[in-house]
Amino acid sequence: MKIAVGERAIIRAVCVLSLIAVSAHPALAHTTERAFILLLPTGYYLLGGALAVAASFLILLAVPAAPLKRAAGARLVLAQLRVPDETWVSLAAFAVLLALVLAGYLGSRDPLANPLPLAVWTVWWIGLTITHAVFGNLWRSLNPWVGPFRLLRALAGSPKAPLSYRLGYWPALAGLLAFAWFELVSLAPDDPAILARAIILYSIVTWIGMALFGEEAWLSRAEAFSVFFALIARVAPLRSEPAANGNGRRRFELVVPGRALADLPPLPPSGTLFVLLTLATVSFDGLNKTFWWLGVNGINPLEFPGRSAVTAVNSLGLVAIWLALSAAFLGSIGIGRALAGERAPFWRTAGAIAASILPISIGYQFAHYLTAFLVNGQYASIALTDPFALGWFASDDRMHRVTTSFLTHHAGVTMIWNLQAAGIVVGHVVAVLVAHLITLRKEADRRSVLLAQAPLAVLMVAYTLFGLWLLSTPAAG
Amino acid sequence: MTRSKTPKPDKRNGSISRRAALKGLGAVAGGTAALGLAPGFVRYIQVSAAEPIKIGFQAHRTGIGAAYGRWYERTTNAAVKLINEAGGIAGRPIELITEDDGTDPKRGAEVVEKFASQHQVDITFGTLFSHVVMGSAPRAGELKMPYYVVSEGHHVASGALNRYTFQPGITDVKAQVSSMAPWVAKNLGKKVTMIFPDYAFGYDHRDYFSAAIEKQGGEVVKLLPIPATETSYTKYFPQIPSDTEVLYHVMVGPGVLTFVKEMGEFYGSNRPQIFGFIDSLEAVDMASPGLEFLDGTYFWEAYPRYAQANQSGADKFYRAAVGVDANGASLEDAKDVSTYSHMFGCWETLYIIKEAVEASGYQSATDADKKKLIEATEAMSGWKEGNEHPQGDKTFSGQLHQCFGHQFISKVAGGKLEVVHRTEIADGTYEPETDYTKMAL
Repeated sequence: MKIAVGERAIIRAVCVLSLIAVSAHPALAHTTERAFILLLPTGYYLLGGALAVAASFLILLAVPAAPLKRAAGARLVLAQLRVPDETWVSLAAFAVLLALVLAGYLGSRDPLANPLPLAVWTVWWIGLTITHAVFGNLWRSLNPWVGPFRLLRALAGSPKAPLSYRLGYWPALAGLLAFAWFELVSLAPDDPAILARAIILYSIVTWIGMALFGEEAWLSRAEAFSVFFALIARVAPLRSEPAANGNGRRRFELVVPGRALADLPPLPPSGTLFVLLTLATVSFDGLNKTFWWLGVNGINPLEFPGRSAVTAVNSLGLVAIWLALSAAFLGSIGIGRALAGERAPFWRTAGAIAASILPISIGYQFAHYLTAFLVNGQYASIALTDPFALGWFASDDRMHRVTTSFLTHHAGVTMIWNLQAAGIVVGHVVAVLVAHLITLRKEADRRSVLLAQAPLAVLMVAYTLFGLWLLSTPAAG
Repeated sequence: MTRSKTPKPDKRNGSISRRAALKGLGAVAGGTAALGLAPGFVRYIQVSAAEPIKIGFQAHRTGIGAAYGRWYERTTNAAVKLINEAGGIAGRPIELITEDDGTDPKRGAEVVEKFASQHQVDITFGTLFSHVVMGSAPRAGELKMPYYVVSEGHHVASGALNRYTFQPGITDVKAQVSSMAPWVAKNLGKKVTMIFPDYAFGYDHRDYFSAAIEKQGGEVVKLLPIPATETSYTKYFPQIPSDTEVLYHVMVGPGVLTFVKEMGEFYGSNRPQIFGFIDSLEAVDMASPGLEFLDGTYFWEAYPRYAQANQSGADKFYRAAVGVDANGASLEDAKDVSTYSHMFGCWETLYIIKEAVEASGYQSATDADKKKLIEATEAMSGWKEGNEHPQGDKTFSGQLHQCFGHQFISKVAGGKLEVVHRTEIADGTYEPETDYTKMAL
């Protein structure tokens, strides 16, 4: 029976492919924002962005180390506030997640009407990431798996001692890679039921991990999103830490953006590769739609055949760009060490400097997902008023109309392009600052700092050009 | 004509459906919370008198078709709302179930499968992109799922698909292109240079228009295929022969605005007549900076985006229902220009589905009823212009499963499109290439 089904599927696939091959295709490749961007003087932006990043590197070199460290350490205490108990916030977040997963099964099948895909891909993955880069680590409280875990543990009585955790960041790395593949390569990550299943699976894995290895170990190094958000939060200008006098209060302060990354202890190799993956995934998401990538892979960009036709090549591409970026980063660290005559272990230097990649990841994330957020954010606000597609508040259709006009007229596209370019350049400038502060920790004289950092600075200038090119080059869709 | 049917209980699973249960739950919750004032509650009571007719809407909500999909969805929702307000189909309300195919042919086939097995819809409708139609239609045929596409491709009429697949709401590209030739030859010139993207879409235009213009005593003096990845066109313009009377262009994709700009730079004010297809600039404001050069040139439109001086009552009605202004833009955002030359197909197809279901006596998704529905659709011969068919009269070929309608030629003037000619339906007709009615059901 199974063979028969398989044979039928193969015959069907062959029939479909042959039909597609002979069919006539009306072209509906629409005029996207790229058409307007192609008319903008993007070449000047590329040049200006690269110069800005190079200049920030040179200016930082010129500033004496001591006052720079002092300035970078400046902080402005804003307030001491009592924050809600993490367990309760997490339980509330879990309740929301549960409702969303239910909506994934029971609500509209339309991924732009069902609140689950919109909440996950737009509100959480795009919105919450950027929020972390501004307001610091909210995921520590919002993590929906902690509350139920603590509750169950309390109900179950005294648990066994957790196993000793020795897996480094590898599970987080595997989790992020799987997530990126699901988001960028798999056929239908927006399908509400498929997404709901993925969330249930990930939740179970997370709880098992927490049960085996303990909450702290699992969340700090193995759970991809806790690791991701904690790292991203270190870019934020707003920091909070438990107040000195306790009482469950936290002290909120303004700091130099990225400052907390310079304080991060060196990451192990798995952590370094994790950080590089955060940048590689979003870079690949931009790259895989460019005419260049499609052309290299023999795909007509005006007639993009759909994800199913590029699953294999994009799976390989996702890993390839990660490996290429890692090679470029580690290579620049190696050359810098050789030039500066550094003697510390290689991975220790790499693991320290890796933190400087995170502001670039955020810059890319902002620039790359800005238009998706502007469009799907509208759908999300509508879907959340009627999560189960029961017609709640549906009396006025006009409330339900989404616009994308900012992508199809000159002024809107120009504004978006400027924001995107600013995101890329600012991300790189902060990265240069962070890399500089980290290098200052161990290199004393200016010549060593220059030699140790120069190869990485060249890489960052090149990545600025790459990022701006990704946003300005012709792309499908 | 609307014939009332006796309400029929859902016998498929012998119990209340999940969706109905949910609606009930929602109604109860709403009733408890808001003393029965929630709209969901009222609606539930109204529709529970008749089992809904389920229409699966195969939508491009993500992927490269999403920009078109958004307007297809909006038009579809407007038509469904109106049909339901007027009593539904055969007295039964439409329940629209939207599934996203990601503009992917494999996913498209999966979605058709889901419509059949999971949602148990009566009819599937709305697919736009040709490669998705080609990927999905064979599965629809295997599942005996009545499948009404809105794609404008020639794939249906070419005979490549099956007895269950129809395109009754929008004229196919072969007829669209062919019908341009008589007016172009008579009014713009007979020596034509064609500049088109170097792949299947461009080849359709090349082949159909070349044949059609020759019939008019004209000739294509030069074919200029442009590689799909090209983004600068300056090197191609010098290849246009100087005796060209008409430049026919159908460029698409992100290079379009650059193409127009460079064409303007090449020609200045001394240009041949220029004729294009609105596909190039669908959903783009004709008054956009950089498009000034197009002033005085001509475009094919399936349905005039800008309301004309002699606007019909049906066009007014349709625009108001979909929420589109006289410039073809959203009533909520004057810069949000619709895909006006394509999306009417959803509206008209839904009314055709209604007519076919009512004419056939279709009751439920049994093979016998589906056969009746297919035969009733094939028995149709066309439709008169009106609120249900605002784009205009159409003829329909049951053999080809394809409709044929009037096309429009519009001149760009002051950042708008003014209709200068409406074709006769006969201008686009061609020798039948298939007869689906001979296929087994």
